[in-house]
Amino acid sequence: MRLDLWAILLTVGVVIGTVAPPLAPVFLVAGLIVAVGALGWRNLVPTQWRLMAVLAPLFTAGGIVIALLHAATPDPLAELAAMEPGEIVLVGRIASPPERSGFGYMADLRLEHLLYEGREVLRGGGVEVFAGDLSVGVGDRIRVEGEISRPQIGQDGFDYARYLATKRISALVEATSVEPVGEERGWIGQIHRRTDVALGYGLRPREAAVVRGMVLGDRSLMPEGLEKAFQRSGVTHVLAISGQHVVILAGVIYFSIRLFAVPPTIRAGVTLGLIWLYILVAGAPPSAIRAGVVATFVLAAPLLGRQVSPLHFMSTMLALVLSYNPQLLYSTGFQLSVAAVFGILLLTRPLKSLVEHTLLRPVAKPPRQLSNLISVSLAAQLATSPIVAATFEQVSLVGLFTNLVAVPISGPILVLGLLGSLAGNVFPLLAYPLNACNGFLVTILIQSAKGAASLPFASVTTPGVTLLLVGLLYAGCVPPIFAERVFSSERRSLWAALLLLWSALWLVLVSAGRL
Amino acid sequence: MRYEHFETATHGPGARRQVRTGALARYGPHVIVSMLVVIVLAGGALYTARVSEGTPKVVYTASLEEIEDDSQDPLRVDINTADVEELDELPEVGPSTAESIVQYRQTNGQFSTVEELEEIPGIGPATLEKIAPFATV
Repeated sequence: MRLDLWAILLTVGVVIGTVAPPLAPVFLVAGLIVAVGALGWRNLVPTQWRLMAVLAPLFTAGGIVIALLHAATPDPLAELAAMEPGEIVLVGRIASPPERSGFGYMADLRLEHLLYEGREVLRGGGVEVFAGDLSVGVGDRIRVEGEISRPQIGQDGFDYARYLATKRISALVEATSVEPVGEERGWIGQIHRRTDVALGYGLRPREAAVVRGMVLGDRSLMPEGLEKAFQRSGVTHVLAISGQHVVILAGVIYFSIRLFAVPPTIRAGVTLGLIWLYILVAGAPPSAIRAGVVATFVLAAPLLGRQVSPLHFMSTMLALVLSYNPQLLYSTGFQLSVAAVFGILLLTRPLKSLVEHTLLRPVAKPPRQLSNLISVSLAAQLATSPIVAATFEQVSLVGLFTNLVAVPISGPILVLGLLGSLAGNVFPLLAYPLNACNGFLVTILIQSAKGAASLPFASVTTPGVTLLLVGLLYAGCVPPIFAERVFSSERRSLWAALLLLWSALWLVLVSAGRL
Repeated sequence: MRYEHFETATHGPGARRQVRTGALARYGPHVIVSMLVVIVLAGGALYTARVSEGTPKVVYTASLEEIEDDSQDPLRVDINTADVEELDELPEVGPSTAESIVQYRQTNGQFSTVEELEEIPGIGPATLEKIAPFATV
């Protein structure tokens, strides 16, 4: 008897309840029909899936209820901001590293107290603070005076309120004064500050900014031109704290501890503890949380005597994380992270088959690592391209090639960056050789990104990509996924080749504005 | 005879009940765990959305008495000290009536009661009834 689809059904319920609540009854009725059918007609679904079919409406309804619970929650902070009451006073803790904004800096603030006319009126929630100078770190407790307002939809149609809602932020505050409260500073902010100092030992500011971005996910010190070069060359993802970071870190910690013959239970426990500590220090972005949950499942499964099933872990992670915050559906970082992992899990094998039958055919014995690297990179690019095209209106064409350099090199950069940060805090002299080695690798990464970005065909603009167009490209991914389970290796290659052709055609038509 | 017993054992109502009981015993734990999963996740969502520290909560709203006090303060007009503009804020009192009130005050001295306003031309019992809640001496 199989119940593997429970997480997918619950996730579908959360998605429907969040994105299109009027469709919720339709899905519920469909689920009920399947359930009643499965109960009354034995041959409707295979025996092993019968219980799943019967329980389908329970999970879908659960997902819908979760979404509606979140949607029905009143937000008095947003209501107050909409009234634009004028001068207010806030006390709270900084939740994200300050970033440059149109004027001055901005940072997320978790509210403890909101005072209006000398009286505390609200507690809890989050606001985004804009200030000319914001010399604070994550975890610092501050007092802010300023005017509160609701985020507006930009002229380009960007829904800023929805974007902030993914971070549980309800309002903006234009600060006229920002003061620290007490002497105590947040420990995460202190780690960030110490990391900055440690990376300064032997690294130039430009390289240090890249390592800082990769280690802490904080790109605020990255030169704008360099950030654009990374974007145009399709390697920005190495700067975001993503699954790749978590996997590298988990691997390094786990296998390092194994060298000391530590029992598996303690090994998994220590690895998980350190991974979650890192995610917390890195500001807990959605992509890192996603990767952290999956890493927890992977490490805990053998201890609990469960099979390691990446697809099931991914769907369970989605159910858990979206139950906690359904607004993450609108987070581009989360979307890209989920799309990349599903792309890698579902498309790598057919693409690998294609790569081995075409690109690497002249090679007598192609190294497995090379075919893996190319197919994984291609799968992630294909899966994320529609979201990148719709969100950033620009898709990198050279990303496949630059990632062949950026992905393998980012692992050592991350590990050396972490070691350099640790050494710089304990014994600065040790940090110099580590940072020097890292500087060499970062220079290769930067030069690859800049070189690729300078090519005239490095990227294409993709204006006006709608949800329907995104769906069209993903529809093309379905045949190779099922061909993978049905046909022989040669047929898999054929379907993978058709997917590549379909993607290329989609991109050409979208960039030409014909779709 | 044997055949009849076989029929009874496989197709009779008792057999159906047995199948049902068997299914319940077999799948009961699955159903209970499934329901628990949904309940725990929905409970977590409820806690996150409504109870947790991160959720914005109103800690102060003005009481009706405070609103009443706040609203009455500026509308309580002392008819012995108010000027024409302030008297003009009273219900049913226009600029000319306000002028009349000031003239009456200058001629006859201060009002001892609000009801004395009835002496002013243009203020009858009905008007006085509307003015009274907002006027004081």
